[in-house]
Amino acid sequence: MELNTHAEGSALVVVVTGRMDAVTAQAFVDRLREELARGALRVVVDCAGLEYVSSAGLRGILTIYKELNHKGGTQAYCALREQVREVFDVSGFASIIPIHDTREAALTALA
Amino acid sequence: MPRKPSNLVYGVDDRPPLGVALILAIQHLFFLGVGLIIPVMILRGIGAPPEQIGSVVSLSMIAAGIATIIQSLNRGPVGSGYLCAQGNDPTIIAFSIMAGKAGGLPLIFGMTALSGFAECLLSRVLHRLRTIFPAEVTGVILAMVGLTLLPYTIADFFGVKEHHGIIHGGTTAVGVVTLAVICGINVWSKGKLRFYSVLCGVAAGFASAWLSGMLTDADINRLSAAPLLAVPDLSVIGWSFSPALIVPVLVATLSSTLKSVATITMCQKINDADWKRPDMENVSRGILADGLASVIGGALGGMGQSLYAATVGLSIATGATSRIIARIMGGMFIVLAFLPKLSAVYSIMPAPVMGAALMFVIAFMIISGIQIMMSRMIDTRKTFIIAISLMFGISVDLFPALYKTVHPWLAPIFSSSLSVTTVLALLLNVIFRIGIASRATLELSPGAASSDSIFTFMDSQGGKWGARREVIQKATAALNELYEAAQAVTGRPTVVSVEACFDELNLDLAARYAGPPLEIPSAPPGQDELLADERALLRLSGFLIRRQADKVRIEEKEGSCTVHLHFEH
Repeated sequence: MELNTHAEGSALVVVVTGRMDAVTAQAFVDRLREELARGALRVVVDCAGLEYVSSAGLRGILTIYKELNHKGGTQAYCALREQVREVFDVSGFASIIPIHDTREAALTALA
Repeated sequence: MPRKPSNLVYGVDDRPPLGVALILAIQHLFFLGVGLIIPVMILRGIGAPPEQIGSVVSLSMIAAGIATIIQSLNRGPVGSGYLCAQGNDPTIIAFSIMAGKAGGLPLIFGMTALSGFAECLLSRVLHRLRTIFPAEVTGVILAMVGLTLLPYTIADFFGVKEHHGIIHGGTTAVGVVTLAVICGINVWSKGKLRFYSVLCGVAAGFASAWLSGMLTDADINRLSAAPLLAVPDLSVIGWSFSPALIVPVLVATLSSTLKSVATITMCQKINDADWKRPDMENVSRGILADGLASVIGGALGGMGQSLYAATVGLSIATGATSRIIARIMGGMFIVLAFLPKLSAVYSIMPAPVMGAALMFVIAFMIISGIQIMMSRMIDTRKTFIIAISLMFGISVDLFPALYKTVHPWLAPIFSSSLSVTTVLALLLNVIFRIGIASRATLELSPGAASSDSIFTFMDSQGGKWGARREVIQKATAALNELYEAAQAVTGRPTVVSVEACFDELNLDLAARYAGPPLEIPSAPPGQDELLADERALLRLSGFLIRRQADKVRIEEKEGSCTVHLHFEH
């Protein structure tokens, strides 16, 4: 899995590529904890390149969700592929985590 | 009952209003009429007198009309029940000319009936031959059916035949007007006008041909000189047989049958939004009707009949696939056989108008073929099956002199790009099946690389099996989840042994590890539970496995647990 981050306006955009599972989920959590420690409070996670997420990946996503909320921040996930969206839906995550079709829509929602 | 796709206004079981159905049927007749060139070509090729040509063409029309109606029957043992015209087919040209030169019309009719009889026999074993007609073979045949028509359509569109190989501006302009009107109406019109796109385009084509002087007074005179009513001369009918022609006839029959299998498959796909695979019982009934069409053709003094993929292309384009249209079309074609004045319209139709109209329907045929090809996972084997058969097929048209010296018995195969593609695709499919087993195993050692192994294994097997991508994706996700859960439930690095079995209808995975069984709950754990309790992650894992597989069964034995996952394919 690859993670690339950059700023867009006042938001941090995290671009995820590859698979998020038991092997890579911790790397996601660690990286985002670093960004949160650096003061990131608006986070958009772009999932256009995210091919697959397992239960371990979902737990990593939930961990960061809670930590960012605790700091008073906001976040959104965008451009989920069909298979990943289905996993979010059936696990109930879609009703917890804000999801948008495009990065622009996610950035607008957080602005 | 298959679910009607959203792009169809009138599906196969619908009854369009009579006025609409009549005009749709007339449009189909334009394409059916194109096939009449073939008996003309054959009879001129054997030096038959013009009166005989006229009679044989009329008798072919009657045979085609009857056969189209029979093909549309949806009750009983004969007929696929779809809108698909039966008409004269280029695959018959080679053996018909051979027969005509050797024994005149009776030998053509006799061998045509024999070809039909052979196809009827073939239809009885077809449903057992599903493995030789996977999606890539059916799809490449269909795409090639469209491409095969290109030499004629392009030549007609540009008027190169009449103008000694040079693109003629006036002819091209007529072709462009026709194609523009057809496509424009099809893309941008609202409501019912889309049904009549071909009719409007052909009318615009005739008008522009008249204005440009392409349609001359001589053409109009030919139309008015034709008698209103005429009965075909039945004295041309007779039958004889020759054992020497059996092999070329059977080769042509095989090639034509395979094309018809692909065409019926296309009919099934365009009428079923949830189409997954050919219904071989229905294909069988359709091929029986197709074979009967040639028997009727030979018996009535017409020529060999086969399914017309072009009319299927037109039905996709207009969004009307009702079988009522087929029956009206068949009836009209029979009546037209007795009305030379009306059927003379075919003889004066400007070539670019026909070329443009054919291009329009070929577009849908090619795309339909590609969609069927790509409906399953493609691996290296399938890449070769598709590409090699396409390349050699296209070579027949690119290098016309190349295959002229083959043995006469093999001539029917090499006479057309379609036959070469069809035979090669089937042969390569059979050859490349060597080494594909329906079972495969994978040993997953604990470690970061196992996830990659799972994805690579499933992707590779999916390609070999030609499985549906969405099923392989679900199975891969479930297997990965299962592997991670096995590590978590045992609390230590655990080897997981996987066995995968596939047939066209089922994908089964069995994953075995040493340790306690997994929990497979029917609801996911809540978010607080997920963060607080390690075991909640396991329950989420089990829940996702349950949602992804169609059936989950757990077997415990002597400290080992085997999780059986079943996926409907």
